[in-house]
Amino acid sequence: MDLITIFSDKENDLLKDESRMSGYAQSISFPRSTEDVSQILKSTDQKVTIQGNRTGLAGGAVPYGGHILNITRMTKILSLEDNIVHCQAGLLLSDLTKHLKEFGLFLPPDPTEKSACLGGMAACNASGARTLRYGPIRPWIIGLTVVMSDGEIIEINRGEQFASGYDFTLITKSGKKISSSLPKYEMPNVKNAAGLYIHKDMDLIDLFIGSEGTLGVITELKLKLLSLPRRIAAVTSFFATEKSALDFVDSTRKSNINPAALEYFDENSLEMLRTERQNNPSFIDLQELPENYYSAVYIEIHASSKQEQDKMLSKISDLIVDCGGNSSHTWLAITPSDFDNLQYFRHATPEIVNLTIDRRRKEYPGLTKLGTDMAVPDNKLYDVMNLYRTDLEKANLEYVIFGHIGDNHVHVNIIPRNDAEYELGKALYLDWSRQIVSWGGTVSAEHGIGKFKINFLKMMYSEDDLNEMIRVKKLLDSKLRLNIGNLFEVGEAK
Amino acid sequence: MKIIKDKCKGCNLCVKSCPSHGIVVVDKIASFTDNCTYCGICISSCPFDAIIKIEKERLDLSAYKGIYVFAEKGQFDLQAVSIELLSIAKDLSKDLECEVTSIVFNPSENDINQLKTYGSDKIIAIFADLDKDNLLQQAIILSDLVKNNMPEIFLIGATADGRSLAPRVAAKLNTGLTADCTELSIFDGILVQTRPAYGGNLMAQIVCPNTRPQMATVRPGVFRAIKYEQPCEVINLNYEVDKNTGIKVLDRSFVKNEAELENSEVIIGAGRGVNSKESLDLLFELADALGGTVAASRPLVDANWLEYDRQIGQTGKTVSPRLYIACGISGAIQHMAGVGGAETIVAINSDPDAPIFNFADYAIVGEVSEILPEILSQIKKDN
Amino acid sequence: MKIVVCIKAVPASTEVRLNPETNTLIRSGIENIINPFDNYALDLALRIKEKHGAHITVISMGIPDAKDIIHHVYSLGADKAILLTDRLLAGADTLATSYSLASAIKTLEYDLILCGKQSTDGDTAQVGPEMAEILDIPHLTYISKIKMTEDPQYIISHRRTTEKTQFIYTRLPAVLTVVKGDTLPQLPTLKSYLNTLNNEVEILTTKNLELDDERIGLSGSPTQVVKVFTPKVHKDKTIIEGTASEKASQLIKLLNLGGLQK
Repeated sequence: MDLITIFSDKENDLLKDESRMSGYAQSISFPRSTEDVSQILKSTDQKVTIQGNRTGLAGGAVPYGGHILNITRMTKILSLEDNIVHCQAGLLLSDLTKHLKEFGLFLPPDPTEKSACLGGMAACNASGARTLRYGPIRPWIIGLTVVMSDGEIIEINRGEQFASGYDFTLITKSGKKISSSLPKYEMPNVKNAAGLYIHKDMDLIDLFIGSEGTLGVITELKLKLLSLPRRIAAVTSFFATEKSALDFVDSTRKSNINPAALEYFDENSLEMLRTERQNNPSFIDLQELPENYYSAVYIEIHASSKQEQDKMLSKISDLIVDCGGNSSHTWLAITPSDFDNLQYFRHATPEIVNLTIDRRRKEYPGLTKLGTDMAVPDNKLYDVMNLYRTDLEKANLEYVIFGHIGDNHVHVNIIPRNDAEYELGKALYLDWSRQIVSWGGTVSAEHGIGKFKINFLKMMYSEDDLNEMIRVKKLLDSKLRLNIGNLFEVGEAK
Repeated sequence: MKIIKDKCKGCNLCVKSCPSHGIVVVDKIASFTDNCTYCGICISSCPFDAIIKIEKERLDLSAYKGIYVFAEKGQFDLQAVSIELLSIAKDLSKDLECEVTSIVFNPSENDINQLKTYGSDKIIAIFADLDKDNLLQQAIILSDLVKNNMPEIFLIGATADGRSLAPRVAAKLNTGLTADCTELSIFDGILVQTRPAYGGNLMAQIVCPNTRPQMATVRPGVFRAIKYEQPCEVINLNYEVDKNTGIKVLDRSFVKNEAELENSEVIIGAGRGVNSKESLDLLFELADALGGTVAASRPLVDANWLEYDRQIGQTGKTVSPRLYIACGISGAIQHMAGVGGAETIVAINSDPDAPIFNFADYAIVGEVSEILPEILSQIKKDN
Repeated sequence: MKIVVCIKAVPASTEVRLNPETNTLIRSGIENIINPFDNYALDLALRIKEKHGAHITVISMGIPDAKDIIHHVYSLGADKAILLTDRLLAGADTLATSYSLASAIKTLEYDLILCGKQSTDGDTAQVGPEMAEILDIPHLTYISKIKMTEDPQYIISHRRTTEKTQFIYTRLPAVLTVVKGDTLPQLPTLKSYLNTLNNEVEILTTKNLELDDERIGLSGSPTQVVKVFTPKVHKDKTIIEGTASEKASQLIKLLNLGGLQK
């Protein structure tokens, strides 16, 4: 089989993803089409790890033996018509975005990681800052081509195949039928990327979205698009206390502004930005932060006209003042270059966190970033922030909190100073997961479970529920070959 | 500008090419809107030659003869660009069959010799009691001289001072000036000036058909200085100086040009990707090992890690070394505008999508902090 | 102090490319912005206003579409914005532009005229000095800072080029072309934006000014653009791969870096 080659040292980069964990593999292939993928799966009986551009944070693309099926050469845009794009799964989000911009279109969710593949994004139901208004990628996927582990191909469009209650039947291209019943567990009612997506009478296309490659290989996608809003504006508002920032987030959500994004930077993030800006030329272009302000909220609005935009901005100004802020302690981005400026500011925080960890790793190689990805329902926002603060102060750890606060989904990044703190951080992380699950939240709002958060999934779902997920997997991947180690522990093929 | 309606097919290519919404197609025929700036880009975009620029009538300007070159003094000697200018002026003078005259203020013996050696047919040495660095006084004298002597072309080096002096003179003379030219030639008796526009994304070719002199400032480091043997007449003139120009240089210090980028054959460029002092030290080590110098893109100079004399780019120096190794430099057009003259460009950057890789002859995707130590240790080993 | 700031609306220059096959400008995605250098000029004016008080008038010569971009200066703190726009002014090179702008500025009161050092589309850096000549006042380029003196008619300008740094005693009124100062230009605040929403941009046309027809627009432009083209695309590039060590040794070999050693 020409497409499959023996794995060589030159490809060592492909053994890791952004979790920084590294695995091993025997063979590798770079298919260019759905047909290629089908052939590959039919001609090897090894277990298979599906890889896109390896931007995942949870080890989903890290292989532990067997074959690597790397889709990064499947990058064609097959058609773009009537606001629907049909593309191969290896197309990078940045390339898609650039292409769409020429037509005045965009894919709404806007994940932060622009070099992810569309296939990977579908497999982990990717979200971004704009998920607050537009949802994750799930509703925007209206068609998928999935290759099963036996080489059978399923082409499924949204709105065509539904479960009947919990009973379902999938039909492959060659006419083969796969029938069974769905698990009966309930998913948390929050922004979620943990575990298989299941509900009564569900549209079966959703089964594959967020399945992290455990059910089949996504090779092509049809995505619904929107026209770029005529007006995009953003405001970064500074507050003296975290409470006023949270009040602002809460009131904005309850108002009719319908923000596209609401992002948060806590006191420690701002301090870290201030310091790094002084010492590192890479960040010389960061706007100078006002003194005496300890939290910042970034709010982005999309409007169809200047009048609508100005009305929203006026309302935002009122809310800022109501919550104890000052509308002159804000940065407003109306022009595209100012907007880029605010984006730069937004992305600098996680970048600087990574830089700091990398520096510390030189001394303590065992350290990795300890970042949470948990989300809670709206009514638990204050509670969860309080929980984080109290525990972290008590444990005397160095940390920053920032993220998609509009979805009650902030990333707490503990920056351990040594191995002992690292262990302490991990323990806290586990404690929080339990508490958050009990509140009806999720342990993974956007990064996915991959291989390294399996324990957390176990907190969200009972053993029975997890076995149910495994049952569905066995149904669609009877030889247990695809992305073994992702989501749940199963026995494996050789 | 005019649309030739018979030729226009309403294909819309002109509409797509216009940067200012200056042309629209209505009922399959193109027409100009109020937003048209006469930039002429649509003319080259039309596959049917349906857009033309109406040429102005050409005046008889044969009374203007000769090429004048302004020789600017640097800290010690004449600016290198002034010498380079002489060489290109010499080339042009062959096509025009005219003389090349250098103009210099308060020259030393050495200055005169330089100007003789590099191609002047005449040298006008102006002796005047100029105030330190007063470009306005110089502009007054130069325009007077040019008005009297009527050269057809007047070239000035595009140094910071030159680019302040030249437009003042051009406005006094009510003539056209093209800035920062990288190419000059004669076509049909007039000077064709080529220069970068849109930050270097595009090149524009410009002419000045109906006023004299045709003025241009010329980018340093683009033309090579060549020696000539020819007789040379030196004319000494005295000039009064206007003491009421309204500016007075109180203090002037030359930026320590320890980098001397203009003379370096090997330059190692430091960009944002050099994000620690340790990494920067590596660049200095490499420069040392290769007999080169360290330069910087704007961020490192803004952060005060390196001095302004090391800055390359739109607001810094333009260089043309044999080898340019760009370390952690993204390749933004504002920086690349300064390195166009490099013979070989090596780019080291951890971002595979960095624009610098569009300019590089050799591309290495990697961290400066990882690659440079390897290069250094291997060079030292080989030695 | 009365400050006039000259600004120009330009395409975001990183976006400007020609389609190599059709030689047409690839326009989609090109936003028009305030010329970045003019932002520094405006920022210098704002800093002066903040410290010493000043009245800032922003003036721009451009196409009618530029009005919205010019309006933006109100959110930054300018007191007045003027757009000089007229088809008769189009096609102007730097000399004609300088004449047109200077004629408009003559109708204003000014102690100081600030321009960005150059525009990112034309890149000539000529309009500032040419305007100064037409207004018959001094000019200085590459200014990053100024200092007041006891005499309101004089300031000290700090000029910084790659070769030298100068402190220049400057008589007002004068034209200064501005480069980046020590701080980044500030972003507008939500408050200033909302407060200035209803401010008007004054429109000036040739009818409002006494202009010599021969000195404006195409007629007043001694230089003409004959052609616009893409610079030669770079030659083939060699991508060096492998581990850090392999990359280093390949590079050394390909460039014969060992031979370059002192």
